[in-house]
Amino acid sequence: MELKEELNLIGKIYREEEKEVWSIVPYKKIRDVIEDVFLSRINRISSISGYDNGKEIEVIYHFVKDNSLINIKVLVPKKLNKIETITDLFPGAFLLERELSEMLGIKIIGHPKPGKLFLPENWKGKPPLRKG
Amino acid sequence: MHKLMVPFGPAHPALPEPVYLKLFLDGEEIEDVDFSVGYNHKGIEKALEETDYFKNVFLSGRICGICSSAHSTCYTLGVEKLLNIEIPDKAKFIRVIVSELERLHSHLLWLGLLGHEMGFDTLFMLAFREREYVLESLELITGKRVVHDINMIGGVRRDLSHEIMVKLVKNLEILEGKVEYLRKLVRKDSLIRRRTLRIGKLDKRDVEELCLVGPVARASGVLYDIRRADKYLAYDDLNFKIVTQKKGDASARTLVRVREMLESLRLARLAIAFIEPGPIKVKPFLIFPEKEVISRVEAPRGELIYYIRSNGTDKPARVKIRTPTYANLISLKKILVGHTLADVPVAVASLDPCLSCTDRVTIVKNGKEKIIKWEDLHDHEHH
Repeated sequence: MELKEELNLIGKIYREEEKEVWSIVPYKKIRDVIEDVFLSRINRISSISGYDNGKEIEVIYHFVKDNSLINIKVLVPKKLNKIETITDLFPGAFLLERELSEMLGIKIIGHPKPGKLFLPENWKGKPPLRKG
Repeated sequence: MHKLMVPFGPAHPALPEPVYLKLFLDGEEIEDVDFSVGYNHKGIEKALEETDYFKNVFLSGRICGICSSAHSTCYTLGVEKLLNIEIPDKAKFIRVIVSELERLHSHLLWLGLLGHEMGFDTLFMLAFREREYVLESLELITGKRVVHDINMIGGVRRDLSHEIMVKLVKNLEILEGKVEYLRKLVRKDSLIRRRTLRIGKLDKRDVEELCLVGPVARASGVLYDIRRADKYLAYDDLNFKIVTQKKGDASARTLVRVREMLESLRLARLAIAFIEPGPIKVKPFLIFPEKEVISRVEAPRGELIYYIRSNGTDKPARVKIRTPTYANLISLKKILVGHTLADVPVAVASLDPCLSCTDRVTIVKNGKEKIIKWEDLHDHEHH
C-alpha cells in the first residue's frame, strides 16, 4: 500500500504540498506507525520539533523520503507528559530526543542515555521552551 | 580490566571549538567514546521567539560565523514560504553566489585547520591565503567579510553592479587555479595521505543508519544534496552536480570538500553569467498567517533545517533549528573507536564540526549560574 494511504488509515493527512506531507497521528499509535509503516520506507530522520500550544505539547517528527519530507505530528497531553523513544529504530534521533526532553520537559521512555544535553546538569528551572 | 579515561576538551589545543570528549582507552587504543556539548549556549531559539520576523533575519545570521548566510537564507526561505511570496530571479542568483562563496570560504578554512591538526602548517597558510580572495569577493558583494547579512524577507539588500561582477569574475578565475593546486596537493601529498587514509571510516550503511548529512555522507557514497533534492533558489537552472567519493574515510571527506569547492566556483561563475537586470526585492504583504512551514538548505556542512511556526502575530511562535553538525556528532563514536589517541584530532576534524551552530538553544548563563532573562540581556546591551 502507498505510504500516504496507510497514513490516512491510521491518522489524518492535514496538508499536502509539493515535496511535503503533513499528518497527525493519535498519541497511542505513534510508535507502531513509525515501526511498521516508516522503518522500511524512510531514508532517515531529519529533525524533531516540539511546541507548547497551551493544552498539549506538539511533537513533530520530520522524516526524509527521497526528495520529500514527511512530517508526523503527535499531540502529547500535558497530564501524561511522556512519549516512547524511537532512538532504537533511528539511532539518528539520539540527540534530538534528548533536546526535546530537556527543552519541553517531556519524558522519553526507553531512551538509552537520558539526561541533559545543552542545559547544565544541575538545572532547576522549568523547561526553557514551555510557555506560560 | 583496567581502563584509562582521557578527557579531551572542551578547551584543547587540537580542537578549534569546545566539545568535551571522554575517551576510554586500552593502552593507546580507543575502546569507547562519550561526548558532551553545550559550552557555547547563546539562547538563540528562545530569542527568535521574542523578536519580530524582520529582525530575526539578522539574528539567525548570527547563529554561526562560518555559515552565516546559510542560516539567514534558510530562515528567509521559510518566512517567504509562510507569506507565499516568490523572490525576483536576480535576488535568487545573488543568494546563490553568496552561498557558494560562503561554502568556498568554509571549506578552505576547514582544509587549513585539517592541515594544522596534522602538523602541516604550510597547508594552513596556503588555504588561508587563498581564502582571502573569497573574503574579498564577499566584501565586494555584501560589504562585509564574515557575517554577510545580504538576505532580507522578499529578496536581497544590495544590488550587484557591473564593476563588481567584473572584479568578481577575475577573483574567481584566480581562485580556480589555486583550488585546483590544492586538489592535486591533497591527492598526492604523502603526509596528508598517510594521516587521512583509513582514518574514521564510515561505510554507506553506517551513514544511512546514523542519519548523517552533508559532505560526510557524500564521502561514503550517499548521493544526497539539498541543492538537488529541493532545487531551492536557482540551483535547478545551474545544472548542479553532486560530488561523491566511495571510501568514507578522512581522505575521502577531504577530497569531497576540495572537489565541492571546484563545483562551487563553477556555480558562482555560472550564476554571475545568468544575472539579468531587474529588481532585487519584492515588498512583502505584511500579514503572517497561522501556519507551520519547514525549509531546508545545503549549508557547507550539510542539511540545515528550520521549522517555523506562526501564530498570527509579528513574532514566530517557535523556530526549531537542526544544524548539520548536530546531526553528524552522533558518528563520533563510530569514527574514533579502534583508532589510537594520536588520530583523534584528524578524525574529529574530518567531520568539520561547527559547534557554535550546534550549541544554539535556550538560555544564557554567566559564571555564577544565574539565569539572564532576555529582557535583562536587552538592558545589558544598552549600558
